[in-house]
Amino acid sequence: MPLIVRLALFLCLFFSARAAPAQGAGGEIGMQTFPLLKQVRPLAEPVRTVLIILDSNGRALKKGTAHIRLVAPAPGRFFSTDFPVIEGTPLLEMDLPILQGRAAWEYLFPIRGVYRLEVRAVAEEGTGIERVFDLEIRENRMRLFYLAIFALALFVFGIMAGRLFTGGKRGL
Amino acid sequence: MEKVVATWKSLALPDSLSFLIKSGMLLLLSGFILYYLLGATYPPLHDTLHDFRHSLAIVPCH
Repeated sequence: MPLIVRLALFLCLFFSARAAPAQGAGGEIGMQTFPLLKQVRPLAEPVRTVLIILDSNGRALKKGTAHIRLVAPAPGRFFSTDFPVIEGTPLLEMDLPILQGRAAWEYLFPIRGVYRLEVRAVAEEGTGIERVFDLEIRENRMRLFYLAIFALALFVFGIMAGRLFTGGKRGL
Repeated sequence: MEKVVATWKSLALPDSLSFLIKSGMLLLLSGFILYYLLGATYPPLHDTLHDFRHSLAIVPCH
């Protein structure tokens, strides 16, 4: 099989595995957030997360327990967040009751980045469903605006200092 | 007076060296100021500039 076909096949498998609704044979786990994740900003408002757990027949799991683990975004290659101590560390680990197929909690996301939410739902009869979600929280636009203003101020200061030192003779 | 001016002129540094020293001192001073504004952990400084640091998105504060 040609290399390009193998590569295409691998990419298809990789992305279809990422898009799969659940990792487990016993059912499905879905998630909703209020507000929507794309509207959420760090330390702005608590986010209500609702897990929807369905059994293998596609019906809401009546009773059970959801084990939740939330891991903070990994450190960036170039730029830190304003709270680097928690980057890549576990933030939440708890068991929630599943009632009529739902488990919910509220959380205030502290920094921007992609959080990893690991969910393991166990029904009363002992069957388990697992799924990992990636939750992307975007940076507050005002902070980026302030950063741009600060960088611009430094740039202007550098130009002024250069002009002052060269007396405007060096074409700056 | 003319003698004083002539002596002073002879002591003046070449343009390129003067620029190098002045820009070096400016960079050093700017570095110190930026460090104290954005990175110092000394409590009175940190507490005063806490919100400012957090508002710049990429400045590590904790």
